[in-house]
Amino acid sequence: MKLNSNVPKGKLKDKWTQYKFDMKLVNPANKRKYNIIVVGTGLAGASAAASYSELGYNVKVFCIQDSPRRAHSIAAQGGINAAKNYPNDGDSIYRLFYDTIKGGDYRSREANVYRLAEVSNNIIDQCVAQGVPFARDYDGTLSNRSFGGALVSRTFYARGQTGQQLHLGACGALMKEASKPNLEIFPRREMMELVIHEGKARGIVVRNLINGELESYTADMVVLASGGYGNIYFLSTNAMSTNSSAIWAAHKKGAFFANPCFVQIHPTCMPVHGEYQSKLTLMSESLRNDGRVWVPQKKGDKRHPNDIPENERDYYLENKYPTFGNLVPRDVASRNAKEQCDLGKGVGNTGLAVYLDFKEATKRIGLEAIKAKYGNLFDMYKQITGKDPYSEPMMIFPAIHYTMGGLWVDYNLMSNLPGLFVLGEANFSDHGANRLGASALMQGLADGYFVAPYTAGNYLAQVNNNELTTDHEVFQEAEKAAKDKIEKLLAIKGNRTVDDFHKELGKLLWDNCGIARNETDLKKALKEIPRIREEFWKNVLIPGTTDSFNQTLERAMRVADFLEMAELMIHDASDRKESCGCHLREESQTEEGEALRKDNEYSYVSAWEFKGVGKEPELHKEELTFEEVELTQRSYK
Amino acid sequence: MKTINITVKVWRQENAVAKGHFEDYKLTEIDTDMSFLEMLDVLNEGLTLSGELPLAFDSDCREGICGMCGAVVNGEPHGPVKAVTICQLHMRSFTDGQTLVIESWRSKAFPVIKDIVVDRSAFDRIMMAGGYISVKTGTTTDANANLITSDIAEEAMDAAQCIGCGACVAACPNASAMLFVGAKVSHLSLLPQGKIECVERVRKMVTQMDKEGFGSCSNEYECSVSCPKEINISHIARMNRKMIKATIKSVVG
Amino acid sequence: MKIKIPSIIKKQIIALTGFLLSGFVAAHLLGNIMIFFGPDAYNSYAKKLMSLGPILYLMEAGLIIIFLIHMGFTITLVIENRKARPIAYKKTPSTKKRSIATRIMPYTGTLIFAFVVLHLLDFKYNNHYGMVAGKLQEGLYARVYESFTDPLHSLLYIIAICAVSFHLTHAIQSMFQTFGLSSAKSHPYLVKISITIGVLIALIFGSLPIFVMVKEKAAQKPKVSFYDTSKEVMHNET
Repeated sequence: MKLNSNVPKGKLKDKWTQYKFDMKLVNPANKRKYNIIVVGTGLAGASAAASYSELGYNVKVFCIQDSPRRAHSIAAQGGINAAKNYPNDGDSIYRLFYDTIKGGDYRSREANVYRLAEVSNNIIDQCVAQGVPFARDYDGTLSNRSFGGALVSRTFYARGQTGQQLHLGACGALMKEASKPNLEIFPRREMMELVIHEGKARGIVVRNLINGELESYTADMVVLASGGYGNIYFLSTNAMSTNSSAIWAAHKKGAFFANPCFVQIHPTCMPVHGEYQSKLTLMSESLRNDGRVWVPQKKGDKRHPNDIPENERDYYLENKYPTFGNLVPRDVASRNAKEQCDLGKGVGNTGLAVYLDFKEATKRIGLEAIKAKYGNLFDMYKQITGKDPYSEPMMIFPAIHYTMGGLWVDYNLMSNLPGLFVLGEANFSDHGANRLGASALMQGLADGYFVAPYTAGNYLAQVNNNELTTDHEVFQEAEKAAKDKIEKLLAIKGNRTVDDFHKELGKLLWDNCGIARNETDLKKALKEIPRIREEFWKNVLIPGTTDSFNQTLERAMRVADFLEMAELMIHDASDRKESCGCHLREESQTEEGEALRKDNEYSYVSAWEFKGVGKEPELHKEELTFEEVELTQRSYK
Repeated sequence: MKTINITVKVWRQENAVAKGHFEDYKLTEIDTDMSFLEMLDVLNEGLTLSGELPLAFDSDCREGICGMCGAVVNGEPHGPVKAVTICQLHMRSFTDGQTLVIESWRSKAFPVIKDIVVDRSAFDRIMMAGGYISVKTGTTTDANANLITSDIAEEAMDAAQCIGCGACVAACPNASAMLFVGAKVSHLSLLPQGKIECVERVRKMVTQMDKEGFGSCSNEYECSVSCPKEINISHIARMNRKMIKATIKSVVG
Repeated sequence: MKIKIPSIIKKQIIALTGFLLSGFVAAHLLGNIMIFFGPDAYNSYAKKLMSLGPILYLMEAGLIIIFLIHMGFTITLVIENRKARPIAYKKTPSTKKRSIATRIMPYTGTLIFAFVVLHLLDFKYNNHYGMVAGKLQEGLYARVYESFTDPLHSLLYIIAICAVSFHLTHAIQSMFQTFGLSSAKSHPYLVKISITIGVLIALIFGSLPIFVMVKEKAAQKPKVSFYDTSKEVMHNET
């Protein structure tokens, strides 16, 4: 099957304008006749749902949490990019577009990324109007900072809580619409099934998490904005409930999954303390501006870091990358940290950490300057670890942070299943093989406020839907499938807990499909995953019943999906025999041992088609062509 | 690695209508580097394996920003450490042999769903009543068209930081939601773009707040002390002031 | 049609009536200071008040209405507040912020109410005669003087005054908060001012019975008028 990305013709910078002119419109009086389902209430979901409702469509919004405002977008810290060029430092839409394409290691679609850069400015206007208290300069104008290695200051921020503020803005819009009759919010619901009728997405089945009831909802189109799948690794910076079940259900119904092996790993997180660890907390990467990364030269050196003399320390980043030193990009820093730990040089209780030392910086710029720059981060570190980073080196370790992969979508943000739109982190579209800092918030809101409302209209104006009620057999079947799955899980009554399986899977993926991958490990993982999955379905222990508030059951269903999805990730990682974006493929390195991208062979989006659990999925390739940008290889030596 | 042994006395309630009670569990060798919620995870793993129902508790981001988690620990909302949520509370804050009484937020407006999970949808209904600026997507002017002084933006941000966890209600002797509503009202009314609807917003939000069954404010200021984001009571004062205006307007017209 | 008064407005009505009542307390205080200046000053102040006639009645009626509104709204709010937490905590939230004055507001309020009733029966709706230094005298001064020579009576009075003081300690800063007249910056000062006023009120009112008792003691000890035949005096002489 040939994938059609439906990118409009014409020059890159005219495509979106032309699209908006060419698109079909729904008569304003008819809009109320259309029903739209939105799953997820993060930045993308909340902004899309509110915008649809403003246009006059009937909208039903679903979220797992007790309130839309809790979605994990709220935890984003750094900021949001836009090409406003307020600081007058030479930024432009084109530059933002170029940086994003390049940052993504040329594995994203030019037209989508250009559109993202194009609407970025509208997002800032929108958010300010909604009352987002962005940081201001003394003259009252918006303040900007440079972020994630960008050479221009284009990042807008609200202290270290930009995600929270943007999300509260979007949720404000959602609440405004919810006070009207055409938008309804369904909290504490988890999507179980996507319902397809006559080849089109026409509804969903959800589980009411409070009483366990299965509920069916019909619509003329379904929007998934359910976030990323980073939690497949068990330990990540994601929230506890972040999961892939909604997109996985859609994938099993025929939606293609694109680039599932593209996951972003953040190098400066709090290290793992022990087996009980439930999540990893992110610290700003800016720490590496002044901190020096090192490990003891001797394996298994258990001395206190302050007792290890200079000549017995290995400042491995500085030694290996003399030019960039501690400021090498995320993937390089992450990869090397894991490498040192694998060599047995890791520090801390678990041996899964490296030191980040501020002693020299303190000497150079003074304690006060360090406090002013990193005070809040140091406090956070102290509060979590109980150790004082002013008197001893910090311990850091990389962690899974963001998933660039997701359901395949075309220029309309519609998957290959008609009527199924996918927004935000749940789709694969804009970040290629790596995401730039402060771009996730931009993408979520761009999709929700400024892209999906147009493209949905274009779809609805052309589709001719039959009347469909939840009595229809497609819904009955979907409900039965969901019910059977739950009953089967509860009937197992084995003797291993859900988290136990999840941890096993997570470790397997982290070791074999994490920062660096190779053929042997991937093959090993591909063998192991079905074994874990089989054992899960024989031996998992889920207490409680289905007709009650049962958090273990919720987790079990998510893990069941992760156990299927993991295999897809391995297939994708095995196929991509190139180093690219966030990951290193060990077979694809330069002579100096650096990541080698292979544009001739792998300049495509891998879109996978589901063929059954445990069966090999089918790969469809969407070739990526670059008309505007020239492909370059990175070097940090 | 330091470990402690503790006893937890937890509120167990099967569902919204069942009668609840306290149950004691002993936990041994708890790593003091564990977070409070990880301690509950350990408890739940143990309960599950021994054939009992695990404790239901809400949590999501586990980094103190989503506002999903919350419990009263030994009489203190979010536990004994200032300015954190229980997901950021660590077991090193407790001592060996200590008994921890863990209860849900207790308020008529926050009915228990199960164990220490409560229904905080009342907050959302208050927000629906008017906790927003009525701007439509795409109808805005340039972001820099309205200048806002840095200190106003900062003060608005102080209020906007609210994570909606409900600790203020839990801490208030009257189970009042004034700090939550005050923070929302204050955030929006400080900014020029939020001033237009200010009076109506206050009236609607306060009316909804009263309808939900929260108590009223008697200026005890416990809320602010228990707030993980340390939101200042001056935001309540601002709402009170706006409410006078709103009432005069609705009476006089 | 049932008009539902928003909780904030109820609270503001309480604050407003409370403010007016504190005004009365202040005026009353000024009047009562006259005791220090002897019977003539005090009695003439009392007479002047009485001579206001209908205006006085109007003021009194107003005061009673204000007092009832203050109490009525407080009682409704207290009931509503109790209802807002149907299940109490096992471990009551520890007092991190609330001062004693804040916690005992409803009790000090009730005490003040009881005191006002007794106080009125005692001084307003009672005959204005009293024993001053063993002499039966006419006038409010004498009545007050005699009352305060009774240590039990004085003690009750002082307790009631303490209640007023505690009540005001919380109430004054609380009023600023309720009207939205306080800010993050001014609030700590308002709390201090509140406490100062509360303490001053306690000291001044509280010094009245002490002043009288000391004066009485002083009057009885050295000199006794010879035509006085009371037992106590006899006893003193022996």
